[in-house]
Amino acid sequence: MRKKIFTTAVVGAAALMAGTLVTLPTASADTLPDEKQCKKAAKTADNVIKGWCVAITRRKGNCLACHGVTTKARWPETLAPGGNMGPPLVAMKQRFPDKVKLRAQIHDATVANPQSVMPPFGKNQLLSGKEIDLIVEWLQTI
Amino acid sequence: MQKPVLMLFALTLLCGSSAMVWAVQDPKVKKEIAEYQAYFKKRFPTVGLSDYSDGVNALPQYAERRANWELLMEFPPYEADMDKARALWNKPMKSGKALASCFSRPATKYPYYSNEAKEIRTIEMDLNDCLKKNGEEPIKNLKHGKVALLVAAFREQYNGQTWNVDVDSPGAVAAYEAGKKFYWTKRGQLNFSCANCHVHSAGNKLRGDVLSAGLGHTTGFPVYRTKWALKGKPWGTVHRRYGGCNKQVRAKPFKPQSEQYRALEFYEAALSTGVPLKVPSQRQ
Repeated sequence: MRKKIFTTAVVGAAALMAGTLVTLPTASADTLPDEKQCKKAAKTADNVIKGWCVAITRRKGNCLACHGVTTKARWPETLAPGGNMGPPLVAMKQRFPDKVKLRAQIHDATVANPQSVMPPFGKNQLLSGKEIDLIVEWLQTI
Repeated sequence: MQKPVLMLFALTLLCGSSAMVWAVQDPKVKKEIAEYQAYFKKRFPTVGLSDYSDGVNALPQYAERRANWELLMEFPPYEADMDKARALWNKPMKSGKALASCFSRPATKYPYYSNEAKEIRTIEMDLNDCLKKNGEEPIKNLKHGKVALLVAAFREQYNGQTWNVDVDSPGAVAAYEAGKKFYWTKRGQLNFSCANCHVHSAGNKLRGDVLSAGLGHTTGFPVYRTKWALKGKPWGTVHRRYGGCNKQVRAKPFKPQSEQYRALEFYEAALSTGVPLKVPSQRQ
């Protein structure tokens, strides 16, 4: 009898631990990848995550240098919040219902606003056309 | 009762400063400097003109990190090197003369336009001329090391005195205009002008870093910089910093003491007319 309780407890504890182990990857799936994790994730992830990865990588979009971002998915702990040299990236789908306009803005923001200090990512070949498309895909989700 | 006294005090200060400060003779230049300084007064109302000696540390956006800087300043990391710098400055040259014998112009009036040489002259240039004239080898590296220490040893003697460069001849005005053009022109793959960051976005954050105000730029140079210390070369001249800035916007940097950087240094010094020198400075 005693033994049975002990066994149950052990099994239960093991199950609990296993449960925790099982839930961990699920939890991290809700968290966005940081710059380091992006190196791997960018290969297998969907276009939205790929776009996020282009956006946060310093040698790519480096959007966070100037823009603060509010994401629905959990922000990675290892990633510093964005700057405020540019306007915050919020409600992008509402602000840019037309993907073409959003794309043009990243390509060269000075066309729509000559005063803009945003680097012309497409025009100056800081990003490829494909990379800009991916950023647009991600921006449509926030 | 107190108000008129205060006003009188303010008036005395104003008159005093305008009499002392304006070595800038050109009326258009004078107006531009006043407008530039008024912009920062409006952008950072709590920051006084002399506070800009402290660089980014003076900005309210930097307040939460200022305590760290003040703590660091209790035992400044540059002090040991400054003892070395002063010894270097005072060491007689092969001719027996001291470096000071070549410098009749105060540090607050550098850079200056030389009517004889028909160009902007910097402390670094006069320093190397002095060394050559007195049988010494000129300094080759104009970005870091010995040159920065010697310039710091010269400039620190004028700490507390205000920037006061002369923009009073056609040549000086032309150099000022060249520096202005450099300052406001977008460059590099990232397409930023100096002003985009240090005027329009001063005090804003680039990730965690606060962008310094253009006003007061170069006042504390040469600087002892934490970022440079990590690479083993903590000291840098203004032109080393300019090169770094140009690289950051992915533009090809110009050479230290190039015509472009000297004009820029002259322009920035003119804009900071009235800001007291504070040399050396620690920057992050």
